[in-house]
Amino acid sequence: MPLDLSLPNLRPDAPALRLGCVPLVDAAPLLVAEALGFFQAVGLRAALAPETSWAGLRDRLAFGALDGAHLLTPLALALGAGAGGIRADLAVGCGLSRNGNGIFLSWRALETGLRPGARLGIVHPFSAHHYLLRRWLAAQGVEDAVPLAAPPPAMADLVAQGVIDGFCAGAPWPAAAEASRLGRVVAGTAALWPDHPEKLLAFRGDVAEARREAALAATAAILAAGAWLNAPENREEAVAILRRRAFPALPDAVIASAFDGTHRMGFVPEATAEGASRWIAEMREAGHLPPDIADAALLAPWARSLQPEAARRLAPASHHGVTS
Amino acid sequence: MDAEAARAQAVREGLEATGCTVVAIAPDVANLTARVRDSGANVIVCDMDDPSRDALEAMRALNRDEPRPVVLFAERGAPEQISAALEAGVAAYVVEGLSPARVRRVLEVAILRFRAHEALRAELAQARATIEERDRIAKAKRRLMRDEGLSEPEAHRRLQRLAMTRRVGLGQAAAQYLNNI
Repeated sequence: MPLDLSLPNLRPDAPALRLGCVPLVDAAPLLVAEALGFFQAVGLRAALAPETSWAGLRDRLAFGALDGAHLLTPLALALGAGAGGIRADLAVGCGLSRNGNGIFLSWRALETGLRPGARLGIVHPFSAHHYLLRRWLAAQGVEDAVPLAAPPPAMADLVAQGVIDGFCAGAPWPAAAEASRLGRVVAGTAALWPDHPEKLLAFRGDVAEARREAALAATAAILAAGAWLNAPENREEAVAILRRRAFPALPDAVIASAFDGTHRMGFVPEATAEGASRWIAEMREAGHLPPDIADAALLAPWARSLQPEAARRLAPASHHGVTS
Repeated sequence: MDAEAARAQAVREGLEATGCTVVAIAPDVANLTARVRDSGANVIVCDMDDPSRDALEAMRALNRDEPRPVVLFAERGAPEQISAALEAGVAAYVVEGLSPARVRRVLEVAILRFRAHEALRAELAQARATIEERDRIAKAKRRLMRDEGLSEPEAHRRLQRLAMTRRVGLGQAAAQYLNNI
């Protein structure tokens, strides 16, 4: 077992910690932690729950059907502010990823250019995809594009049906649409804001309090998985794990597109308040946050981040460790 | 809102049996906003796991002029979550399965709650606007007193005259004056 930091306070008979995720390469730290037995190694029972849509995942987290989740950073902010109609207290577990989204255009859109009223897919209104696509469109001089939200795995079909002219979604879905010969990936969000914070791991606030040891153990296992994923020698095995667990129909090269020069996905342990603050600014500019909620209140989940404590617990174990 | 035609038909029959009218069934996200507007729906019914969930949310976030309550049904879900969703007091309600007997009541409550919530939101926005307007008038008066050497009652009368000649409200006159229009 590569990891040994069983926490004495974890009760073996406690119910499994339920963690939600959406099928994307940046859910890899969760999928890998499960596949390589890192949850077991920290003495935790964890159950991963794949969700169809971000809204569905958000509701399950808010209403207690999930204890924690793979989450879009702006969606975590919206949830704290009640911006989507539903409010919940969260605590950040750790960061998951940076960069990793691609902008894809259909052949027709590439040929004629994006006309006024062009319809472009985004994964959720409160997403990096939405805010960075707006920037990209402005830079291209495209006005009046209509954003249309849909789950990332549905994007290619919507292009094929002519419902949308392109989309911005996380890897591997832009490369998957390209492999289906529907058009081309034209840019990555990494070019619009290099190394932008993308997904994070969040727990419901009451879970982070009442089941703190379990939440810390899960965070430690996921941090270890992130470090494993960043080691280039593990790349091939990582892609195989992702294919088996999340993308059985996709070729390895499409999954590995997450790490190409356009998408530039990386796994990051920290979810910083500075990064979140920049998303707050984007969201305020879009009018997506109630003006009477102060930044400090929005950043409360980051102030409670479990990452420093989980990383400390991981440190002694890494000597005989994760990579050996 | 349902991607599965067979289930959509079953839900339609269930809803109509309780006296509701189903004005449209949308299988996907294409032209969602126009469809909602044209159908004149009072409420949107959707499965919690439907792929169109994000589009419904976007409609709410991006097209603020078309607010509609969305009632969600979850096949996976525990009673305590349902009550948590109800207590959230917003447009989303979670009900286990689709038992026709309960559906109509849930829809009615959802519509009522949603209207109350929207009314409250409008009231808050109105209250905020009133406070902002009062601040603007006070600021314009202070500027008039400083720049024109007027007393407070004189500044007030000046603003009133400006509003009268321009046929606008006092708040708007203050805003125009502050913006040097």
